[in-house]
Amino acid sequence: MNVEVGRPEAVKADFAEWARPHLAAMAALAARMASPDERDDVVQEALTAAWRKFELYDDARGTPRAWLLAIVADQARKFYRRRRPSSPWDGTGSRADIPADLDLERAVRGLPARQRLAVALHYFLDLPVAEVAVVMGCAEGTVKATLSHARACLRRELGEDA
Amino acid sequence: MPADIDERLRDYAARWRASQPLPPGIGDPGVGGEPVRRRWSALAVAASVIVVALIAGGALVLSRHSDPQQREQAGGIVPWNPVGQRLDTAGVSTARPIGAPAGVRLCSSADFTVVFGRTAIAPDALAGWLTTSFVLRSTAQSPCSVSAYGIDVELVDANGGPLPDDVVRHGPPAFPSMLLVRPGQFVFGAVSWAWYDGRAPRPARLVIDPRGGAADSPLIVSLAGVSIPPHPLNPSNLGLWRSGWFPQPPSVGVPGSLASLSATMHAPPTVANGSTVRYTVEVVNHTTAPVTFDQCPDIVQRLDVVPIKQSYTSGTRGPLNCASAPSTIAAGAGVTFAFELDTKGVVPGRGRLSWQLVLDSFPAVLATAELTVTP
Repeated sequence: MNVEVGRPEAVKADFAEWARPHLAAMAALAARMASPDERDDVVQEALTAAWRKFELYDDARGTPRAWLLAIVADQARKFYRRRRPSSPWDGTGSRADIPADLDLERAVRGLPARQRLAVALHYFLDLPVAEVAVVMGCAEGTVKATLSHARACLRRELGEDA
Repeated sequence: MPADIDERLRDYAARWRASQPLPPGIGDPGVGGEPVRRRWSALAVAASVIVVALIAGGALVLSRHSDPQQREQAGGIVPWNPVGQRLDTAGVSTARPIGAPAGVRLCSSADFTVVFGRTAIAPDALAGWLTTSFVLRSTAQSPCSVSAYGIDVELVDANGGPLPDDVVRHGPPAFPSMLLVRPGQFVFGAVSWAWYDGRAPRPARLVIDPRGGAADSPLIVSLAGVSIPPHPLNPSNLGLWRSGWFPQPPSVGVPGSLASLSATMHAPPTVANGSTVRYTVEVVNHTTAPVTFDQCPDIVQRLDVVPIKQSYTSGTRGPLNCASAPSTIAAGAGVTFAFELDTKGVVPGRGRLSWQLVLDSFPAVLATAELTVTP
């Protein structure tokens, strides 16, 4: 019944079932790193990219979740670059049910990309630093430093650096 | 104060996560997710549509003498009577054919003609997934029955070669699957499928064999001119995904029969995973003839959540609480029944709660409601 699509194991393992437990995390990261309008596209493109690169996945180098989240982050970056300057996203989102902390939300959205990614992964996805490091492809110490810089930026932005 | 921003971030992130409903059917409560419906998570929608399609029962002719007593009870709520058997719903659905009634032959492709076939991107579906809907009309001279899951539906290329698929050719258990088709009646069906551009020949036709075997002259729905979107979400699900068909709704039900009743479900919009959903079904007789329960029907209830491909189901089948119900529903009257169903075996996600009256293994009245199972 199956057809050679990518590596045979991919077909046998059923990519959908393999990726399904991580879709929520992928959606959450896409929601943090892209605009609401782009979130679905980011996930869509990430899944397609993941399928195409599935043969490159090495479970010795990280969990499926970390690998998929890294792809989401990469796709989100591409979407961010393509975003038209005439329609910048103000970071407030469009969902009425998101708890209001607009100052903090705007400040987080205004962080440099790497810091924003680290904050999204560590705080909003609640990943441990070690897994954040795998997703970001850097050392744990680098993640800690990035988070520290991000917090410093946020304190400055929010006027809490007294 | 470094702890302040850290604490504020954690607090806000926690509230943000809590505000993000999980995508339908995705059971990873550790991380929130947006209700991403437009494309990739809409498999559940397509699956739900088909599952509902599969259980939309056919007409049931059942005429009984009525006993108008207890008519005044209409309007009260008949309590839930937890008698029944749990459906075998572990894992992927397993077939449980009920069997055609005695004397009714199985339909073949010669009993039908294709009167309609259309392929479109399924509503709310992800790119790459299409739904082919078709309508068959019975041209037979006598009634026949089809198995909702026993038919063979496959995509073929321009040369007639079958395309690979991973279709599940059996349906959810417990709901009667043998459907009675009378001469002239229409049978509606739908198939969801995807095609991975460049990895398989382009599908050219949908071939339908109502009997599930090698038909001499299978029914054909052409896919010529169908625009297949690129970049399907899940190319591993090459080809047909899930198929099924269903007969026309029981609009031809004879007044006085169970099939002439209409049912409306009142269910909560959400239920926590692991808890029990309590709902009511209002059964109304809109016809001019009373409907009796002198033969107590069964009720089948089930909750289906279909994240991707695999259906997670909880369901029961057992007799209706006829002892507490009026024996007759007068013309224009209604009765409300209470029901309960646990969510054992279901995963969080958007699902569908279905309820059906069943008599003599044939479906009579169906009611459904959307319901979200929360983590």
